[in-house]
Amino acid sequence: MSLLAPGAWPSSATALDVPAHKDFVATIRAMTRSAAALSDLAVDDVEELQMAIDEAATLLLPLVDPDGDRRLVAEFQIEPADLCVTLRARARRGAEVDRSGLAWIMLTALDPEVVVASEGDDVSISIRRSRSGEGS
Amino acid sequence: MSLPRLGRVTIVSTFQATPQSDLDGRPVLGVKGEIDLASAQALVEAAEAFAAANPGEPVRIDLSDTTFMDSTGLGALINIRNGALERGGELEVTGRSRAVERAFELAGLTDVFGPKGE
Repeated sequence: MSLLAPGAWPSSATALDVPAHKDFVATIRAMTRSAAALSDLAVDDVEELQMAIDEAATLLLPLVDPDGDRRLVAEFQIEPADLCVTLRARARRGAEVDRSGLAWIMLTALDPEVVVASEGDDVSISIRRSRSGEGS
Repeated sequence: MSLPRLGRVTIVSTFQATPQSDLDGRPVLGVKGEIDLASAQALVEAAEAFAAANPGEPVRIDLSDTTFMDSTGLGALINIRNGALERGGELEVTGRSRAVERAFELAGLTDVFGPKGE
């Protein structure tokens, strides 16, 4: 049974804004599990999505500008075909996601189509998971 | 302290590393909960304390009750293993949960910590 009936909500867009600190990554994982369950993802997909989001947070936190607002924002968008989660932080000028370490290896193993984007001083990582159980 | 909860989902990282004995009476560090960015350093420190308390013994870690592990947890295990090797010892992962096994697979480290069941 789908938990998401058409038109059930005015909008599925949800955002979680937490301090950019390692102690709050578990909170983002919990919200990810909740959004994934609302999206009817399979149990394995729920676990993999929360792991991917955790790795995205691990990659973003070192980039955070200590003189900025030091916030980590997770945006959840449940769409008919998939669930998209975007993690965003205000980064130090010129800071880039480390694509050489274990976190990146695991993130791209979980989602080969992960999107890393920069807009002004913001850096974001977006992960999409199909609701049909056929991958992203 | 009561923990904030979302239904039955704990929304703070849970982690507990406890020295115990396995069925053969050998010392082992049992790790429960989540190994992530917030707890990885605590795992390294617990393993160092275990090694200091059990000289001559391998650093045995039981991850059977570990519910989540990410790349920082894997990094902690690598640090623990390297520290043990430097002391002439070794790291033995004596049990692993499904979440731990999946993390090993994703990072391509299954062989580093021994195949499942060893």
